[in-house]
Amino acid sequence: MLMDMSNDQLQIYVADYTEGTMSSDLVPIFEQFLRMNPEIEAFVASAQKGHAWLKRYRRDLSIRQQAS
Amino acid sequence: MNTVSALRFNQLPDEDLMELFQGGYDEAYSVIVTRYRERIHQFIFRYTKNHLDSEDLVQETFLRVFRSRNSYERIARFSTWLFTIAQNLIRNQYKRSQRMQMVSLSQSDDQDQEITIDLPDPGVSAEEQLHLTMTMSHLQKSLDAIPADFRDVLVMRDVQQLTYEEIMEITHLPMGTVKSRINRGRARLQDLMGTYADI
Repeated sequence: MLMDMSNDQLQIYVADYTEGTMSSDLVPIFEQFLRMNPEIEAFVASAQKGHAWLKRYRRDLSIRQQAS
Repeated sequence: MNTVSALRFNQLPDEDLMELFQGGYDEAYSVIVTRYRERIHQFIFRYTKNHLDSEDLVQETFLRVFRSRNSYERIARFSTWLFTIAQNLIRNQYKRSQRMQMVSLSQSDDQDQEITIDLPDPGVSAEEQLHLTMTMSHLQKSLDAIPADFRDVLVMRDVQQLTYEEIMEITHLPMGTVKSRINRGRARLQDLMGTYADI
């Protein structure tokens, strides 16, 4: 199923997976797809880390605004 | 309708408040301003990094809401309409001044005075605090280095926490493109932050 998806659909899955909003029944299928596609797996891992950085950025921005 | 209390106004969704405002109930406008002032300030501050400039643009944003209230149509979410106004004002200001910059976290609002990031945890050592400050500075620079097309949607999503629907309406981009830009922006950020492995 995932092998036939368009790039747009893949990007939607990647975003949902990164943010933890992907439906639970799709997660293991998507993770299997990632294991079979190491380049995409690496991209998703980077996106997840970038997302985590921005969570931290948001928190620090909030602290700055409260302090000012 | 005059019997609608302030408490009742507070409980209404944005779009209902706008309809009341369009119908002449200025109390509804006050509720909208109270509801969104802080979020709009944060949104604008992300670009200006200056509280005075941000506050000017916040006031201009709500002034435009006041003046343009009759141009709002309920087909769009009010929040989308509001953030679009703010975004347009930011862009206009940028074009006018050509000097708006993403200022480093290490710079203060007046650009002359060093800012101290207030870390309330007394258990953080000076060394850890220095590391944190340097990390945040690098993070800011990395974010600034991402191409604007990617950075804009990334900030809307991960910093301002807008919904994808709101981002689509503001940018006029389809969902796949919005998510693609956000994914690529996140991955690019991680590439730029590569040496700072510990989150």
